[in-house]
Amino acid sequence: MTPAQRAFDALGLTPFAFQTEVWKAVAQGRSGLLNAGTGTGKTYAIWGGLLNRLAQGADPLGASPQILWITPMRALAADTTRALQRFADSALPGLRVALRTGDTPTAERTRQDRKPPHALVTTPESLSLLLSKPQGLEMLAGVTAVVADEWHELLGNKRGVQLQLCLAALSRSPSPLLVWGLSATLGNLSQAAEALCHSVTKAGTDTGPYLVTAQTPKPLQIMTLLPAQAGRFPWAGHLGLTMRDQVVEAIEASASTLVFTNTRSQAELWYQALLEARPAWAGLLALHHGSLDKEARVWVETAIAQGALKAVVATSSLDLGVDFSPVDQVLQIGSPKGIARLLQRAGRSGHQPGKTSRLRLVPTHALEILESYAVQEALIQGRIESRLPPQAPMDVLVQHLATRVLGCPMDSTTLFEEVRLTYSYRQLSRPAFDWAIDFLARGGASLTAYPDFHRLQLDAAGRWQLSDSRMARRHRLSIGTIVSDASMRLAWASGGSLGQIEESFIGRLKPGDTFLFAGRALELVRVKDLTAYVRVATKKAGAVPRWNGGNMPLSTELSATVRDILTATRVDLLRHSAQAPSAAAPEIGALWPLLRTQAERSWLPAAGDFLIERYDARDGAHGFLYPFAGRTVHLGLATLLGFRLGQRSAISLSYAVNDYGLALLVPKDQAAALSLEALRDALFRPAECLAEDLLAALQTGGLAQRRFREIARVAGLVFAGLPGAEKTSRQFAASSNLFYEVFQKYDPENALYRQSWQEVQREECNIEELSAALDRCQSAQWRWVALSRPSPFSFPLMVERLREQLSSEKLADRVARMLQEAQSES
Amino acid sequence: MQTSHRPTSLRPPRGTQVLFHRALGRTVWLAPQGAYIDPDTQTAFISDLHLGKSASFRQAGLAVPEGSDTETLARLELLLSTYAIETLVILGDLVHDAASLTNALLRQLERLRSQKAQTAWHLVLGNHDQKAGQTLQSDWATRLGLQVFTDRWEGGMGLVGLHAPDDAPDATQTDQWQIAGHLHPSVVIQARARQRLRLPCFAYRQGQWLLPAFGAFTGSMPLALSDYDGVYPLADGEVFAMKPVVGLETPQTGLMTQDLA
Repeated sequence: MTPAQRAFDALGLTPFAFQTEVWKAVAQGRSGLLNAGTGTGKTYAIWGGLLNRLAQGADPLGASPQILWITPMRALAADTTRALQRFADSALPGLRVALRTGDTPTAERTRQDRKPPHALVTTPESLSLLLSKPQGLEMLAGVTAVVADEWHELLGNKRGVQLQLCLAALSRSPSPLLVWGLSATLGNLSQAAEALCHSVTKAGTDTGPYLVTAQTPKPLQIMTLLPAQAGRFPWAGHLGLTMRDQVVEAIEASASTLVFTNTRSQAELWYQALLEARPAWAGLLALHHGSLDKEARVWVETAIAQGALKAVVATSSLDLGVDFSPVDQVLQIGSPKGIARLLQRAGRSGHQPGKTSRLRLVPTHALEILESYAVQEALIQGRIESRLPPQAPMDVLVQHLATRVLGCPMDSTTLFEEVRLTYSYRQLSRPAFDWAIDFLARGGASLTAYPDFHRLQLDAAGRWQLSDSRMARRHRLSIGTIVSDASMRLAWASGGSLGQIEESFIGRLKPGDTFLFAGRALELVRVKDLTAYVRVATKKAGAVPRWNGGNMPLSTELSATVRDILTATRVDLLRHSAQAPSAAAPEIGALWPLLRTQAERSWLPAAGDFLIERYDARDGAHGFLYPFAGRTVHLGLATLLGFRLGQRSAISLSYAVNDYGLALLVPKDQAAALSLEALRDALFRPAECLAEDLLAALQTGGLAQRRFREIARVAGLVFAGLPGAEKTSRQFAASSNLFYEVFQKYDPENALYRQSWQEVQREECNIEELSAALDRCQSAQWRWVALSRPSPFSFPLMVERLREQLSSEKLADRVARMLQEAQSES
Repeated sequence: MQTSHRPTSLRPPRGTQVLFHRALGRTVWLAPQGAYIDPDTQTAFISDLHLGKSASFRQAGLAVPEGSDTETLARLELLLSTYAIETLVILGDLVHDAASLTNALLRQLERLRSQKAQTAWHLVLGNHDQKAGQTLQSDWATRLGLQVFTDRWEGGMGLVGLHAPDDAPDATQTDQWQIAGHLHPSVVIQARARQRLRLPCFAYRQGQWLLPAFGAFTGSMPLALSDYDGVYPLADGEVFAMKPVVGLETPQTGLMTQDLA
């Protein structure tokens, strides 16, 4: 009997077909990807297969780890370790599984170094860190299999690229390496498998990645919670508190509910609102988000698992991981923005086999009713988003090269070959690679721009190594690609920690100001040594921390579905009837008053229509354009239009985008810039000009600059260090904006600086789809409406606070005009 | 008792903000390079050059291209010649730290110094200059002919030069005002149609002047506007006036004659 079979017998389980299929593939020495949802037994499929293979080997319980289990979240790692150990105890007694992440205490690390476990659970960052140390490399020398858990979480971002690079490094050991991934459903599963397994398999051959899909569909029941009175529903906003009573009812009707919100501030406010509605739920209601202290989070997680809570209000911090069997309902406040994400969240309920996952979508404003409906339609049609692996990001490469030579000196050719084993860098050119090496060795290709700089140097054998131990230490501290806002500790003035909070938020407060955190109203006492000290507030809270992350774009799939639904709405009926036809979906019924108002005040765009609204208000001249192409494309379009309109006349323009359209706003005396003729001219330019104009626009706007923040951190330009750990590093603190300006002025050919534009073009503006959207606008029937009052479609854009600016005015003229305006108002 | 100077007869170069400082009884020029100028004595006050900052970043392993020192020094040269400066008072942070003291920088400074041999250079040590240690204060000071002041400069014009300003200047002190740097002040200007700009600035409140950072590779910190009586942002080679200024007047228009003292 195989070890896996033995463990299944001990657990009283019968293996599913997909599990035995994975065991067989592993036994044949194949690498691959298993596509399965949470709670399906996917872990046992891979783990069982690998233990079987281990038992077949010469030295099953050898002296160094043979299996690495990579998990995307530190918070999950402990649970995973326990689950793997439990299974191994009956499969291969004596096998030890250990955990090694950034949270692992030094004593435990030393113990692991002295007596290595047989399998190691870790994160991409900790794996990278191991590669940067000679003793770490030694420890990894015996690894024969790597598992990437929740690979869909890593695939589309730089952490995934980092893992690809680590796998390429491990694949160079003499013994063959197996790589397996676990992934939720994606639109591009075979690409996901290829990206993960690229360094150990050859695509298109019978030794290519092996793809297994677990056929255990969990029944899913989705519906939209609709407002009691559709006409009264707000046109904009993101909190959704008008839906409080319906949400309270839904929670009451279920045993245990997870309430997901899109941002942490939303979670804080909803937690308060629910407690106000049902004071009796104190103690039965909990809050969970990533800024809370670890202990608080663990307490909440344990309490849900035990069924001790009526409801938990959570952010994406609870998206992944452990089973919450007692949860029988999931509420999603606000649009889920994507189908894959929704499926993931839905999977958090009904975790017992055969149970139905129940999901309720709670729109926060009228147009989200449309999105809720679109999500359900898209699911029926099986439109699931893809996640695309980043192509050859320079910042990750720069960091990884330093990591590699820090572990052991290596020559350029060996490094180049190794890097090209990965999917993301498979087409990396030698000059691009040499640039990365040059950047590390002497700052850049240009010899004069970086006098006296060297982070790497060649040894006598022609191998690169790090220049000094101070840099080595700093590099190890900054390994990783997760970039978050600078955060500071939040603690009670009387002692005791509360969690982490964004520095930028605290910076806006004065001692004595109050705010909501972790469900409590707090008063800021003082800020000292990177810690914000607080006490319980006696007055009502004012500000709620505004965390980033609330601006997730609606996926392309979802935008397309929204367009289809609008097109299918019968405009003729809309004109004549105050009520939706009885056959229409309840969501359309709820939207009816809004659609009618839109048709009355403006126009309801059907397929082939391109709606443009103009509105003159006190604050300036607004132009609203509705391509219905999704937030990213609209961002690109707004940037492009701002630039082209600015070429015609000197203007200063601010713009906002959402998933339906974009808003352009200019000062009153520049209203001519938004004329029909000007917009036609800006939109009807030859397609060849697109890339060039977009690039020029990005150089003048702030988008690329923001993008550069992450790049600068990953490439080791901006050193965050450990809070308070290294005071001397303060003199090297410079904002990434300053770095951006320095490169712009003194080394515009810098590849990292250029990467920021490419990333914006590809990821934030989506240039391919932008081009398609431009084509659609050009061939569409233009509907030009001068509004006398804001229309339902324009309203959310008008009040959108997140804005970008572009200006073609001379700076001095602009300042003079702005100051004059400011003075005349005061 | 203040002696009232007549406004200077020198013509201010383009982009200069000209003010009459009633409490001190002196004309003040704010130069677009970021200098406070007393035109009657041809004295310029500047602060926070942070020369050699990119070099010390490079030495720490951060690949910052060179170019900012050249730009800062070109700006300084332009200032000295445009305004025919006789005395230059640097209110601290001439250099970034000890690693900034490269030979290349010293040569650049010496070149500028020999071109403008007639100008006297005074340096009030800033916190960053302190980090640079004795080499700056002795060796470099000698070679560059810098007159070093450890904590304050008191050379007349009703001004006391400091590196770091006091949090709460003495408002009753009417005949001697602080002039300081250190903070790298900037101002956020907002206007209709969601227009927003952040610009380095001079700032003024009773008893105190703040200077913008002069260096090309320096960040800035937005001021709490309500704490200041007058704010003068720099943009595009021009100094703008942002808040109605009490107690200062522009000689050309004769506006705002209300006295503070």
